[in-house]
Amino acid sequence: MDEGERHELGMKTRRSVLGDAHVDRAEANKTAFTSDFQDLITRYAWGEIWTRQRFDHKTRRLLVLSMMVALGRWEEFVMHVRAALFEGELEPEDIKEVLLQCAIYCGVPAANTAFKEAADAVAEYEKASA
Amino acid sequence: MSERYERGLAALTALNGPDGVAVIDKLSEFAPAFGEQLVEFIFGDVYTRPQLDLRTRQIVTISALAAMGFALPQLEIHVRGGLRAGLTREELTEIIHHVAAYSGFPAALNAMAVVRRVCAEAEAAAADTH
Repeated sequence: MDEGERHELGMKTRRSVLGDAHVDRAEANKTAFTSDFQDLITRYAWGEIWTRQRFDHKTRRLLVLSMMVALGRWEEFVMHVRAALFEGELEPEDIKEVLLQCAIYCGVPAANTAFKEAADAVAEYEKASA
Repeated sequence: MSERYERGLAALTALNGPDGVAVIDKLSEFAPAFGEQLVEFIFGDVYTRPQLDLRTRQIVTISALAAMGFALPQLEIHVRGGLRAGLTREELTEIIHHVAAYSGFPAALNAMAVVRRVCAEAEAAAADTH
């Protein structure tokens, strides 16, 4: 696979995981300063890692959520919660279980913040699917 | 012993085998209430919830421990637990691919070294019994 094809595959994966609306926004906000970075993550994270066959996207979504809680990367955490609910096959129950597990390994305050950070996306999802 | 403790101890033994029980026994000599809380909260309350299967719990836990970076002794125990829960060597290394992108290569390299060591030990132990 050449790098052009990898970028294309990465973009397709990124769109399927994060949703068109998010990726369109990210693409529209691209600047000369950020475009090399956008290209790199599209080829590497999306084109090389998320495309590997060993785990399905559901499993990958869960493990990314737990790492974002472990590191306290709340912006990225919320983005993945939203994507997991609206673009993926995760339900609020699945996210809740990951956060309970994180309470053990990352500490109760990390899980507490995670529940708060996830709350808006969960509420929107529940309203939309009611 | 409380029902919660009994339930937790059974879950701990299923996941971690004699390693896990040894940790609790050692703790019980020095700080008995701490060992009790560990069994009750981690295993009696969280691990026994049916909403997330043990294999997925291990994926989530290994990701979090690898991301935090300082918890390599616990990572080692959970990689062993992961093998016991049915994760293969290939699936364990697959988790670390994600760790590299989401938590940085230093965390991934340290975690990969743990996975490699535990898998080598498990393979040697399996060869011994043949």
